[in-house]
Amino acid sequence: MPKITGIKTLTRTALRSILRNKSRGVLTSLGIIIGVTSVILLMSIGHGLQAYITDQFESLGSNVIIIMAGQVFDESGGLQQDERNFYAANNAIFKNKHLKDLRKINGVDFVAPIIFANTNISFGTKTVKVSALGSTATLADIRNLNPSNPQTQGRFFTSQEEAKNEAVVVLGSKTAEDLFGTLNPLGKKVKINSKRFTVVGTADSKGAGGGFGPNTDEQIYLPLEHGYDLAGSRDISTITIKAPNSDQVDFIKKEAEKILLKDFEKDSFSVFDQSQLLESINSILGILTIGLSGIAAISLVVGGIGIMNIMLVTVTERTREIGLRKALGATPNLILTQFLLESTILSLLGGAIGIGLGALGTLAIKQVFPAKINLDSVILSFSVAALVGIVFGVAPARRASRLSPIEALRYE
Amino acid sequence: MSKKNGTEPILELVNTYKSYQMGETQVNALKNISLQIKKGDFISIVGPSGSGKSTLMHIIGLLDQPSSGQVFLKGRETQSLDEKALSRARNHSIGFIFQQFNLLPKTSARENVELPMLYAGLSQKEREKRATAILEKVALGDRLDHHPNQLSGGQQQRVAIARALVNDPEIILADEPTGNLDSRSGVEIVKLIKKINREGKTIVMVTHDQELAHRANRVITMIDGQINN
Repeated sequence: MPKITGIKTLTRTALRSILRNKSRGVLTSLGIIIGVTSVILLMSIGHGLQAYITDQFESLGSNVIIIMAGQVFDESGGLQQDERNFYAANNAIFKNKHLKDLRKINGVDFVAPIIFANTNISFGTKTVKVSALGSTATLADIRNLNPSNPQTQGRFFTSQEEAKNEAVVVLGSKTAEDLFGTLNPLGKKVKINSKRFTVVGTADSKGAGGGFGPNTDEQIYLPLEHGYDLAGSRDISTITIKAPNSDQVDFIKKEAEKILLKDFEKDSFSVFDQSQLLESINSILGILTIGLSGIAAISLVVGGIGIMNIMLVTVTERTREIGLRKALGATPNLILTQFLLESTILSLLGGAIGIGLGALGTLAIKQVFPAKINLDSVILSFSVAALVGIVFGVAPARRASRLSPIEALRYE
Repeated sequence: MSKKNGTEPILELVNTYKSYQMGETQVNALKNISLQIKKGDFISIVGPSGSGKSTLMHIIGLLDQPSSGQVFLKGRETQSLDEKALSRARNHSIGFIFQQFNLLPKTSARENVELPMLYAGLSQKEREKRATAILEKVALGDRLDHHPNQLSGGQQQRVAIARALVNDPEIILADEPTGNLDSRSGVEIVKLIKKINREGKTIVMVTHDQELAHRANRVITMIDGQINN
């Protein structure tokens, strides 16, 4: 193999022969540029989406355990595919006594039942459809529903209001906007199912509910008894439990399961926490990202074929030069190295341009969609580009190294 | 090997044949050539086109192997050498001067001269030093960074001569060195080659030019693949 000093000169030679024809160099590596750009863009979108969803989930409250009817997850941990099982999750099967038992678990901070009811809410002439959640005042702590600015957004209903079953309501940010526009909703009277309620607060915007379940910004929150009235039943569909820290989550989940197994079949309810849900959604997104990036990576292979074509042309064009170099003492290995370096530099240049374009594209997409460039995708696509340059450079470089010097010197 | 005048030949061909297939017919380019090249020789090879002088040059230059017969370089058989070893042997022992100069385009005179030293594995510093020195010797010290297209034909051929000399090879092979030059530059180049020979270098030159050929100490005339004495 050539010495290091030789490699330096060979690299310079390769660079020079690329720079001698800049537009051809760019066209040659166009496939690589497009491939790397699209791999980076797709991975940025995938990672941005994952980060966004994680963020959304965390804003819904951490260390929260959710109990629902039916099977929310299938055996492999993915979200339930079987529709019957999934919709069973909306059934209200839990009773008040389960709440009492769950509150007795060691270390539990808060337990809040949730009663869902679809209803209309109106203010003046405006009426909007909402999903009403009847719950206890503790829901505010579990789900971080306490408005961040009490001056303008008021507060969640208190446990006293809940105990006295007062007619107070907290609006999701979107519902508040739909009903009141720019008006301050605090203290205003709204009509729900022909009953009058006073608005005591509006919840912070939570976005689209983390892509799972209803949009929490379009929900309204009522004291528990009003929820029972709206639902027309005293059955509970969802129970949320707040664990003091993440270490206790598993223990509380197991205890909760024990309690519920006394009354229910194993398959008829689910006890899960947000990390499970998050993992499941992230694994779907991860597979999607890998799949899409894989498709984009096909263009890297096409780009490699482009490089191979041009390198074969280059070898033919430079037959005389190769013959001369051999006459002057270049070994076949050195000629091979020289042309391999050239194709590798071409694809690395393409990779670098692609990374630049991918980064710019990510910045542009970020304006309208969550996107986040990550080092993994940069390293991955750059190494794939290098690999493509080497793999597809072998055939032309071998051809060059095998040229007979006299044939090559005779070549016109 | 056989010793004459007490000196062993640098390069020796013994009963060398070269034939190749051209379509249906077999061409016998060299027939039973035996030849000794000794240190300090200045040999001209003349002959009509197709007489086999180029083929002979290629075999002497280790660019090609004979079909049969033997080639000895400094007493060593070359038949058994592989591509890599042949490249090394050319790099160390043979300096080529071509009719078309064969300089790398868009590459400075000095870098062109550095090429054989690069393949010999010399350091950048050493290469630059020796290339500069040898270009000064062929009176191109003020043209180090000029590219071939900025040099006249005679100057380009002098760069090529510098390149042929730079690794201090045993034999300089010149293939029609004045063929692409006007007569004045041609004379200059021949004078330079003659001077190099006087300094002790062994020269083998192929030419059409009878007048030029007779400046050599020994003229070999090729006819029909054979040496005509």
